[in-house]
Amino acid sequence: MLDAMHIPGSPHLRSDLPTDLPQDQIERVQKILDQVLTYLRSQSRNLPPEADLALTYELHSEVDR
Amino acid sequence: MTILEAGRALRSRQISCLELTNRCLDQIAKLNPRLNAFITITEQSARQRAEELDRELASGHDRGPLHGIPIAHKDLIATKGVRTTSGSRLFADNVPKADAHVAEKLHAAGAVMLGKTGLHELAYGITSDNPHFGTIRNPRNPEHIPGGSSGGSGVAVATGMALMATGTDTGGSIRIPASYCGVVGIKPTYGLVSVAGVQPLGFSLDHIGPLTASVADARVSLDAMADGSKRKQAPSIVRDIRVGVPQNYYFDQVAPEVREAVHNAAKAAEGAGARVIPVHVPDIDAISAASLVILLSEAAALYEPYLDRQSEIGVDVRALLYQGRLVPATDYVNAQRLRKVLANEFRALFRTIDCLFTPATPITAPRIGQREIVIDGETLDTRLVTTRFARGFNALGFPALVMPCGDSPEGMPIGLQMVGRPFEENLLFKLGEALE
Repeated sequence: MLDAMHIPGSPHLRSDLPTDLPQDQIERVQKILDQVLTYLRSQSRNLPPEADLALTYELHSEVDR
Repeated sequence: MTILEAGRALRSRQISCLELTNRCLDQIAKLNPRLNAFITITEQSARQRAEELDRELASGHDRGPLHGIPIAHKDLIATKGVRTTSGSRLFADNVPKADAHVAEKLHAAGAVMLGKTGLHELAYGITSDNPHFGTIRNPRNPEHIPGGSSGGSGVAVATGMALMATGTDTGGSIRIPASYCGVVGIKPTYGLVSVAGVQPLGFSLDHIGPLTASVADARVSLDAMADGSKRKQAPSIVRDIRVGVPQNYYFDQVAPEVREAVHNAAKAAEGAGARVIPVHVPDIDAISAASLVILLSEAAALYEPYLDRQSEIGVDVRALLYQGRLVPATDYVNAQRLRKVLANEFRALFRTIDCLFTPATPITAPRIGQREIVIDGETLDTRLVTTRFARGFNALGFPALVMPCGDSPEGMPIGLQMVGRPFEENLLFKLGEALE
């Protein structure tokens, strides 16, 4: 059952997963998201102040200069 | 036949643009029913265009290396008056009123468009097993996938149905089919090729580039697709190029034949005069995780208005779109922030090297429908394995060229990935041409 799954996303959205998705796809969604978000959160716990939202192309323009 | 060979034949009058176009159309007629590389074939307009270009060449008007060269566009690149489906039922009747910027540029360079190539639905996947337009098959073994999402483009070039095909790459979608089909593909620096008129997937990760039969062909194709003045000049000789070979991550959980072929490519680069340096790469899992979270979020936001038509979306893509809706905004923002930190770490690495050699994919093309694969005794998700070495460079935006570097014992192609600093595609071409 979906409710029993540990999806580390917004809890109120879990019920938005369409019920007609095959069970294996739902499990895949849960498993991959769990792994990826857990890792991302562990890595982004102590981001330095310079970690802002500058877009990639701006970064590359800097490199280019 | 490569673009450069065809160009020589055209200019020495050994062949005409029309004959070259007819050769490709014959090849499409012969192979497409089995391999399903094309969704739309624009036979009549291709012949008309080829005749026009023959007249131009005869009158002394030469548009350059792509004059009279038959090409194909991935079917999410808008083409004026020609249906552009994005491999989706949602856009099955979409007939653009104008060309995408990149299609316009290639047309102006003298290319002949043969048609539109198939792709994974909405470019959101790596198998090119499309529920609406059929399964695209690997030309080396039709029971295997060609990779994706630009699967039709990879197949078209590998079989000579087209001399070049455009692709898009949000998490490896040019490089994976290049690796699995045994052709060359380049994901250029982020922003180098305009995305105007191309169906997006991940706004801050989307790249456009060519798939070709040779590195030199990729170079001349990219010249036509983007403003060349942004690209830095390559070193004059290969001896000046420092090639980094990772000592961590990139050779873990890799098929033995892939590991061997990429190490052999590094030896060949050394033989050509490059300096090979063992390096330790920054945390690839972190950049891959950030890249995946960004893609899931951006694609979900893009297709949110279409979710009331979910019965028209295939199961795997629908699952990904819903997966993206489960990513909290805080994680998306932190993924973007982490991206900047890791880009700085990679820039530091690239102060000690000019180019990084990695496998393009840890495995050769899996079978159609194969969901899991066993490497080093561990059972792994085929999709995650396939994108493992490619995805991070979409978040970093660094250019990455894939070229063939051998075959597996089963005869499936193995791809080498060469990564460079932003706007240093020419260095990758220089080294790639030396290896060819």
